[in-house]
Amino acid sequence: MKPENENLEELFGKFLNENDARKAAEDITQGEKLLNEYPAPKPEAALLLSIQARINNKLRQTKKHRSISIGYWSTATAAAVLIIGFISITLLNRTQHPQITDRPAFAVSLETEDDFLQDDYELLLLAAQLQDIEDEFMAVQSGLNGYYSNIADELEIELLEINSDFWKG
Amino acid sequence: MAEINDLARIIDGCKNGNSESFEKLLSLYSGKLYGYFFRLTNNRSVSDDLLSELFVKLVEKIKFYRGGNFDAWIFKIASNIFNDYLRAKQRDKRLGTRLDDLDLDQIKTPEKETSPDTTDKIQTILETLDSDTRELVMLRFYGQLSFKELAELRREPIGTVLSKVHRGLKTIRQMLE
Repeated sequence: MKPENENLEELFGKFLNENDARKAAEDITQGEKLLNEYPAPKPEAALLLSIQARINNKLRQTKKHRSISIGYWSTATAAAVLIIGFISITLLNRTQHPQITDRPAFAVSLETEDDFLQDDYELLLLAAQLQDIEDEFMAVQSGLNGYYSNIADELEIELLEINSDFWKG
Repeated sequence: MAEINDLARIIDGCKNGNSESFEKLLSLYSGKLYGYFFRLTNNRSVSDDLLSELFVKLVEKIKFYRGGNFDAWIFKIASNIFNDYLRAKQRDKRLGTRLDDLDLDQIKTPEKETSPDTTDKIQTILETLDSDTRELVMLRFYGQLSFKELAELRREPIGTVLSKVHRGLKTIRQMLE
């Protein structure tokens, strides 16, 4: 609200009696009228030109500062995007091709399982060889004469050796 | 209404960093603000500095204006600048006093205050008022602020503001008539 639209009497009436409120309002109006009659000096044209130059300078600085800030933000954002992208790709690759680094329990058990399979295979191979030798031995023993008796002994010895090697590990 | 719309356009232009809008704002408000500073300092050189400081600050501060009475807003900034100036002056005075006490004449700060520029009647009467009352009277007169706006700006009860301005203007009236 502008001062000219104020009801001064009403305003003073909240604090003073009607007569004093009217006098106070009159003091305000007349006092302001007197201030109008004695105007203060105006700023000189040179001052206004100087202020305008300073404003323009400040505006240029602000714009420069703003563009530098935008530059910094863009660079920082681009760097952040690159870092996040790199981390995401790395994590994704790890998920697709897991690498055991700390050898957790389940990994050790898998490894042990692989070893057992390998051992089973070797055992089967050995059993087959033993079976071959045994067959050969049985064939030699069943009705063959002294020429083959030496061979039978050799085969038996070989069989015993293989057997004992196997149980030795 | 047209004036309000014009002012709103000028303020928008200032917010967008338009130099011409600042020029218009300067031409609209420099007279009132200069009068306010001059009546409080009675010194053209200081008033020049304070007016310059205000408009340079305005370049950054204008973006914080969120509507309402622009005159009240800009005079609030002017009041802050004037009070900062007063505090700095008091600091200088205190420093000067301490140096006097130490009797270090050779490093005394030079007297900052220059002699008053005018001796018009109003200025002489204003000098007799206490600084608080003087500032309130000037804020009302040059800022064209209502008592409610003055009370809000100074964070004082409206009754206190009414009483101070009334006392100040009554003194001016009595001494001039």
